[in-house]
Amino acid sequence: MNILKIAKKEILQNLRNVTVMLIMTVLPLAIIMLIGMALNGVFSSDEFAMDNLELEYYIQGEKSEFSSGIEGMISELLGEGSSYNEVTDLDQSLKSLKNKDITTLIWIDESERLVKLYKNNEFYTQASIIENLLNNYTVKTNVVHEVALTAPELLNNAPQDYVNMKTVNKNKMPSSMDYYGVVMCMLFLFYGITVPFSNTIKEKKCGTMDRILVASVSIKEMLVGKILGNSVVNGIQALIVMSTTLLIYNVNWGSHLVLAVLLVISLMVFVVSFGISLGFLLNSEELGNAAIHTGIVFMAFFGGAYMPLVGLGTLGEIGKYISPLWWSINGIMTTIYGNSNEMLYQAIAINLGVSLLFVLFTSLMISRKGGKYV
Amino acid sequence: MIVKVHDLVKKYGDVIAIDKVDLEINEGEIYGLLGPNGAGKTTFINIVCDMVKRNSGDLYMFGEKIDKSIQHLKKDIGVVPQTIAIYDDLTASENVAFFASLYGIKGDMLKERVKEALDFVGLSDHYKTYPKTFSGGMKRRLNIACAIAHHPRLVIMDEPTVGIDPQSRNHILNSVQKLNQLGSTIIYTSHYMEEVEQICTRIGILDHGKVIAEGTKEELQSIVTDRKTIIIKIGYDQVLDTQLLKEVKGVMSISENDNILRLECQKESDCISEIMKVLLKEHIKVIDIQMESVSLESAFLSLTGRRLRD
Repeated sequence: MNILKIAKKEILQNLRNVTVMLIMTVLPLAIIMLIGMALNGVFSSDEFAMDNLELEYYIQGEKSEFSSGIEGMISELLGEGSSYNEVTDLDQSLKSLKNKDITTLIWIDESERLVKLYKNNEFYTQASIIENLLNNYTVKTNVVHEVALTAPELLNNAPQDYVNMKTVNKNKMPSSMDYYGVVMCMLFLFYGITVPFSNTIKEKKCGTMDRILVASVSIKEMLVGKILGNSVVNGIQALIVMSTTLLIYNVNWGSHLVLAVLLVISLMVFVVSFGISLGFLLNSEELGNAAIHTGIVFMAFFGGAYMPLVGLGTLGEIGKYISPLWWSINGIMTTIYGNSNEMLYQAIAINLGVSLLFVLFTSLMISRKGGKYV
Repeated sequence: MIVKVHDLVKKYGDVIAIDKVDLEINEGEIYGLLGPNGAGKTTFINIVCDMVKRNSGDLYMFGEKIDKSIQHLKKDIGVVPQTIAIYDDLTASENVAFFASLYGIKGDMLKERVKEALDFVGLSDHYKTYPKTFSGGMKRRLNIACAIAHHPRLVIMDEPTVGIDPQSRNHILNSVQKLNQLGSTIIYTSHYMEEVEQICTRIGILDHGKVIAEGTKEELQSIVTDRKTIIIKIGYDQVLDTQLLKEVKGVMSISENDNILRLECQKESDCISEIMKVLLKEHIKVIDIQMESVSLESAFLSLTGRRLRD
């Protein structure tokens, strides 16, 4: 019950902070509109079309349904003027990729049921779509393969289309409004870190946190209550932004709107948990805010919030995996444009898992300090 | 007994904040805890509130020995922190209601208690007002209301009158006494000696983590001094050989400033009549004579070597 009382108090306080409410709703909508209109030319559908692509694939081992499935899926995906050819000389094909003669090289290991993808960064977006499709395909076929090896009788009653892959809709490519509508909505959730962070620090400094803990409230109850309350308020803000982009800006959130909302909720919980945990562990509001804002810039850059990531090399590859925004953006984009929800589920799991880690880590640190949060 | 500690020790690294403290606070008392900054008052309060774990020693609360948590006793404790621990973006009644609800008060009783607490501190006209519009004194009073709405048996007040006007201070001091009359035991720390003298029934002086003296105001004054001061104002044209007064039994020292004589005498001696005899014999015109009582401030200074606000 204490959790609900604290959550109610947090909701009341945050809803009364009109300035923050406006910043967190009006500002992202204004930015989405401005960037969406300004970069409309950059995101023309030609840029993202799956036309005129040169793909090569190399099969190691004896050809089976595994590589045939990939062939079928890719050929369905490719547009006009594209080619998809099997090669026998892997080194030559790699050279062609380096010389930018081909777009992508797919290396298929039949015995290990592995697929490696070599990308040409000039066609980064198209290659990323292929990468996500291949990733989903291998995961699904490997599951079926394992089931066939260990319990083949289970497959007898299974539907024949148990590996049901859908390809990218070639005609459904994002406009700049679509891209930034989704991405800015998520990025601005991250700016929501500062509100619970600053409020937690203030609560420590003015003594209200001590006052709550003097009553029969544990640190864990307080943490969860604050996360719950702030998540509700951030949720309202996100809902306003999301529904405005959907209904007024006509941003494409995909056909799985519920999944998109779930992803936003998970990201919101992540953001609020991080802000509150940081507030418990740090004492300097200025230092914390500086770190948060710097972190958001890097995370947004590597997450592809400013522009889709192209040609950043190893740094970009490492950076994107560290950026929580990349997982969420990648997840939602794959759902909307790749017709696959695997990445989105992964992103939700990562967001919620890391949130739980924040809470546990903060509780542990506080316990180690004898129950004191400073 | 409401609170009793025996051999209480709390260390922060190598620093000993509380050093083998023995203290007993009885039901119905207003117990004043005095000590200069860093004496260990707040650490003591934090241990009693279960905010800080002690290193060793025994703690008894409401007659019960505390080995682990005092979670089940917290509803009987109300804390008025030194800082104004209220929310500026919640109204006065919402502030009181929130803190009281954490002690399990709910429904109609919660509404009743909120009204009662705000009436008690004189803020009934500001039920729906946000504290950001309050004066310092009003905020302090709301700070108290938030601690008493759940009717605690023990109220701990950590310097509740810092930085407020005399009118609000008087209101708070009267409230503390009224609260005590209604049955609450009070632990009161303050930097203002006159407040402690005015309202506390018993006083403990804490210095460097140790209780160096404890008792009623009168007991403390008698502990720390064995002397009294007599101040005599004589006529401007009078000439007196002070050596004559020094020879009076019980007079320890004399200082002279213009026409004012200041005599330090042994407390138990009956030297005033002898001093008067000397003055009459020498035909000295006496304009005024005063006996200076030992104040708690001077007792504190004598015990700790520091002024309370140092």
